[in-house]
Amino acid sequence: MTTTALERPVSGSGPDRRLAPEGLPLTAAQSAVWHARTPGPGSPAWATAEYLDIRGELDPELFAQALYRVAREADTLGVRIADTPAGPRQLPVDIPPPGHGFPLHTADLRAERDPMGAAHARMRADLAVPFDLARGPLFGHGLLRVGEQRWLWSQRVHHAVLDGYGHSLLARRTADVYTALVAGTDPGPGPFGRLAALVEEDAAYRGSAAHDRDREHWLRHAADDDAPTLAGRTAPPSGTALRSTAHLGTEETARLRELAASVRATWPDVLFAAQALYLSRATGSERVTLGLPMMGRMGSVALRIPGMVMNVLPLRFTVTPDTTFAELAHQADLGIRAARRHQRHRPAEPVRAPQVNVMPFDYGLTFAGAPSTAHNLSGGPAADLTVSVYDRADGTGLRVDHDANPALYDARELAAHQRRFVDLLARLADGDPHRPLAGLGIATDEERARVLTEFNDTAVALPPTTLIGPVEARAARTPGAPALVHGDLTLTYGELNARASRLARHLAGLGVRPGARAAVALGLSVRETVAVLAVLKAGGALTGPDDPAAVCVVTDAATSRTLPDVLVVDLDDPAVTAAVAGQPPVDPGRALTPHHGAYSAGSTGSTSGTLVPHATLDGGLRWLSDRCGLTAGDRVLRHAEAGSEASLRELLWPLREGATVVLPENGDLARTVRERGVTTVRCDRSQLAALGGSSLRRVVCEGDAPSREAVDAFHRALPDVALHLVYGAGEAAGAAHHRCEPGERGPVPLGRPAWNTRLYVLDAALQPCPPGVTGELYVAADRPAHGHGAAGEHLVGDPFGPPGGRMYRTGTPARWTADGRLERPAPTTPASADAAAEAGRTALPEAP
Amino acid sequence: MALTLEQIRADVADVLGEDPADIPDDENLVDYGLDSVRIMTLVERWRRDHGTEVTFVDLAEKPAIEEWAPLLGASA
Repeated sequence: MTTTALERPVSGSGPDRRLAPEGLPLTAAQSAVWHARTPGPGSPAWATAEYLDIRGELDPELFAQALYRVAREADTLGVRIADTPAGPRQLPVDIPPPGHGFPLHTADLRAERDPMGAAHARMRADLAVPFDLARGPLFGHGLLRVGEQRWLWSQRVHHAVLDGYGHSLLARRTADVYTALVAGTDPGPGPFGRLAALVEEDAAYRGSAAHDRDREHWLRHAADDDAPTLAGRTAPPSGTALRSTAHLGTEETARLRELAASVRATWPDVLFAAQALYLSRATGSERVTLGLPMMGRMGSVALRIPGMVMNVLPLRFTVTPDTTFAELAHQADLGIRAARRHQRHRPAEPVRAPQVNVMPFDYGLTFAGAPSTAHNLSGGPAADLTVSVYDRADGTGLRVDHDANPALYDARELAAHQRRFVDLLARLADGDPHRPLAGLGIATDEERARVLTEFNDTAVALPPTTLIGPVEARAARTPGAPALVHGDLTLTYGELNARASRLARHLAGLGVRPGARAAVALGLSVRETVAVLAVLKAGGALTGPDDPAAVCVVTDAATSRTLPDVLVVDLDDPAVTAAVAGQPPVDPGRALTPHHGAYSAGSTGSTSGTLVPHATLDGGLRWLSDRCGLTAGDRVLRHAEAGSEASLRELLWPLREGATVVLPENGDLARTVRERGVTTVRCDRSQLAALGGSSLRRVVCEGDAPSREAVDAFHRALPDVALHLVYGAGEAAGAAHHRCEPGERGPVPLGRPAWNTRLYVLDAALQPCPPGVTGELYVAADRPAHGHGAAGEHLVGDPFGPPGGRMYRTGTPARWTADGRLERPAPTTPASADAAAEAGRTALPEAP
Repeated sequence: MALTLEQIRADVADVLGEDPADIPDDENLVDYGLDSVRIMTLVERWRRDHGTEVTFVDLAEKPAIEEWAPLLGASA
């Protein structure tokens, strides 16, 4: 105690109400903290703390006296906790007076350039110092002067001895005692109940019939093990929480209260319902669980005891697209009522779901006339995410704190979650609570415009060309350039075009023309290459040999015997080869347009698939060239199965750019690449690891994105080879592109949308997901449908495109990055047992 | 204006969304859905309309109408 303080006319320091020397056992609430594993109770993460921002005159000596007196009035605070043969016990400790070891950190920060910043740095530093549980005491204060008329009083206490309500009791009593000391009056006896009463009540409850009833209730209503979280994964709770703060103004708050009244619920019910809706939409889960912090003091001696009592209970919701907001608020109301009746029972495993914590208490304390506002600093370990809502004492609305585990969220994600939640509240208040929520997405208007319009700004005007026209133009311009290489054989553009023209004229005589279909049933070879070009030159669409609409099938002797009753062009038949050789080597006349069909993949024995037009396929190849930079000097391996759409692209992409097509000589990809100087390979992710060769310059990996490990291994093995990912198969083929760069981390992107293609990430109600939120990927294209066989059932109306437009449902989970790339979320890692078990309380204040 | 038992019952029923006839005087109102938010609503309403000085703790300690009546200076 300082001399100054001693000289003051202080009316005593109050009675010492320490525990008896033998101490007391822990309550169930305290045991839960004491037995916590990650972090253990010795971690600084278990500090709960708040500060009061006091505006006015303050006498620091009298304030210290008030703190000392209140600390001695609260026997719950003057303890240490230690294991004894009879189990863990809380034992009394001496609380030395101010100036003689009382845990009070004072500083005058008025001379600092940024006094508030300096004060926060000191409070943070205090929070990082762990309490010594075995020695005690388990609390500490700070009194920081940040202005002529401004003080910050911070109070931190181990969560094993105090919860948020307890903080409010201590703050109120401190204000009263200080005010009395300043006035020179007696603060009166301490209003607090004794720790012994808390322990006694807890023991009585645990042996009661009510306890058994409550346990039965929670066995039936336990939290779902796989309750979804916004982060989509779990991590051990962190010591410091990330915080984002927002304010709802008077008018917004009034509208929320009106909304609550209109559905016969309280405004906290509305907040729970809104967060359940947000969580459901953001995770794509119809069933969600929220953590419901309960102060656990109604009708209890604990109302007057600054101790650790609170409990967090699971509150489950079912949210379907048909659910109305009124129904959700009703679910909240019923769920909270049921939970309240059984609130004293503690779940065997702490609830790790996102929490909503509503604080209805007036915190406008005054210190001898100096007003104050309270601010939470730490609510204990941050497990996932807690939304704390404070009814502001000055009646100016609500303060909303989003606190999150920094191991799971970064500041930008947290701010986005908060912005959307506040925006959702406003839109809920504007809407009809009795209509299905299907039309209400979680994206803000700005985010909606970004993901629907800005990220899909892909319109590019393309010259109307066919697949074959650009190839013929190349042949006319550079007839001597190498077009096709197979082993030691090289055909020039002129030679290849002449061969294809002869066969095309023969096929035209058989009825192959624009609008007709023809099949090529040959293995990958020079002959097959010529036949494919010939069908396209004649104007026909390529189809499978079992398409009943095929005019003819170009094949060989062995295959022709296996084909059903169909017109066969057997290239092994001398009569056929003679007839073909007799044709002039010039392009056949034809009336082919870009709108004619070029390819059908969906034909089966009895039905014909829809045709993909020339313009669609050629537009895709133009886009591919633009992204991957193919030039006339390149040599492209053509190795995909003959007859597939990939095989068609491997042929026409290089030929339209004047490059050379290389046919494999055996199954060894790497060897062909090496021996024939191949620069470019198109493949799928299963083939990435087999690639190599010093001539290789680029690899185009189509279909599903490879794993991060596979991409990293590729960069290590082939550091000078560009790796392009072209996402999509079937109807979604070529929907997005990403060029991988060494050093990229995290999920492998699917990339940005292709030209004239719009990609949507939609939630279960077909509403657009904001960036960072996973939904299902849909592909809408201004190009006509690819028309693959199974597409029909996956085609739905496109609510965001031109009228009558359709979109293709891929079934692929995806999300947008903030800069407009699509990515597949990393597979969910199973919650580690420890993290799940320990991810308990994050909330300091608690209600209802 | 002083509070009456009837008015207390009516106000409690109102915040709980129930019929006043269904609110007993002698039972724990927590079982009827009374929570801290609703208690705060009552504290503020009665302070504003009837000038009472009860606190949250006073009402939450024994949440039953017959316990509240003397605190609120109410007569039947």
